[in-house]
Amino acid sequence: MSNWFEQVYGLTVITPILGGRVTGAQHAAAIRAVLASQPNGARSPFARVPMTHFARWVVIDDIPTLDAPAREDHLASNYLLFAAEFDGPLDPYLDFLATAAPDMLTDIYSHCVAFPGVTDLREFGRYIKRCQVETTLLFGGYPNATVAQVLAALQAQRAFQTFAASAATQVPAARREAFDAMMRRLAEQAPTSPGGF
Amino acid sequence: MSNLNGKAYGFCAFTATRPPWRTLGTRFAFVLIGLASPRIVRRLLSWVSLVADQTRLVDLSFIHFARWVIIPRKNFRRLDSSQPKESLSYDYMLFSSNFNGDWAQYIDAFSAVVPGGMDLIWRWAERYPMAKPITPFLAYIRRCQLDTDYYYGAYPNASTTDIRSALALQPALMTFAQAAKSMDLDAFDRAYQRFVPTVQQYLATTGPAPWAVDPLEPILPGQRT
Repeated sequence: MSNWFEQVYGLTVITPILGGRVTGAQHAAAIRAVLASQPNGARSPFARVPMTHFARWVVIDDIPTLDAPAREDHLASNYLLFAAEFDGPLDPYLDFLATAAPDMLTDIYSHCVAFPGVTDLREFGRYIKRCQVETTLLFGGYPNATVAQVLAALQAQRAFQTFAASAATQVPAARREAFDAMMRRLAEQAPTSPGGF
Repeated sequence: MSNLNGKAYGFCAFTATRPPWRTLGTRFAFVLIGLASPRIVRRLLSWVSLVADQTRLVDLSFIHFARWVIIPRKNFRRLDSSQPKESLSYDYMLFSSNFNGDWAQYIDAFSAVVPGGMDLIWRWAERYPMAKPITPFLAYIRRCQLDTDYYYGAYPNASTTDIRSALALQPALMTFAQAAKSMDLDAFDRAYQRFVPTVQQYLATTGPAPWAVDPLEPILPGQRT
């Protein structure tokens, strides 16, 4: 069992939502409304946490039911699943997340049981770890590459792709000049923002 | 709610296993998979079905990241006395994946390419119909899936293949550029003509997904609505 696959950490957190079966549905709906209002792409709060490869929230209303003869299971509360793959380790990531997106986290987790807030980073970290579930198996298609490395590689790939397409019809002198210009641009241009590629 | 973000689909499913023995069986399956995962094992024991499935899973090349999490029924945390106690009959396994393509393609590919691996993990699950034939398998997955309420990816318009290609191309390009600094025009041109065929398989086309996620996204690659 491991939350790690090479340098990538897989965090799984399942947090009980307030209200049990009485008002839990209202809190779940409120969380969904907050999540639906969050921007995505380069404007996502996660873009400010640049080690995040992927992140998701799933509101769990109940366990999926199966046909008989399986027994029918029902949860006594709604739960919130947070799953993220990021460049580890865990503690700095949680600190970064709480610092970069305090309002979003507060709006979401204030509907969860025993949420301590994000002002005290240690308390917030302790809360998340209390609700963390150990990953049994984590698999990744490129587990040795950080988000920054992936974005830089994609930037280089796109630049070379564009260059190679036009280089095929250029005379050698123009091709050389265009190649040098492309490499200069690659060295000088700002890295692509997470969420923006 | 959106399971899609650019080219990535965020899949999530909960399946039930009967404690304690069938959950133990699932854990044992993961131990076997862990033993079959190292590259050296995959190379030496490629004739073993489980090991071959591991290699095929890696070669499928449309999974960014995937995870399996066994959640014993007592592990749904009770953080406060006001929170009602859970009383569940089953343990659960969460499967969460980030992949390229649409849902049906993904599940179909799993069923077709690594049915043995799928069955090894899920054969312990309640009412699991086995990966083949595909129709009951698809129905089972649909039933166990939970939709994602917020889904973020750091590089939404890049597929796993795009990323692997880019990570292979970049160092080759940097090495070539470094060597090219000391070349005259003729030497550069000859070197460039030799260089391109060695990296052309890494020239992927990143960009928006060919299926619409939001109204601003092109319906077909290269088109704007």
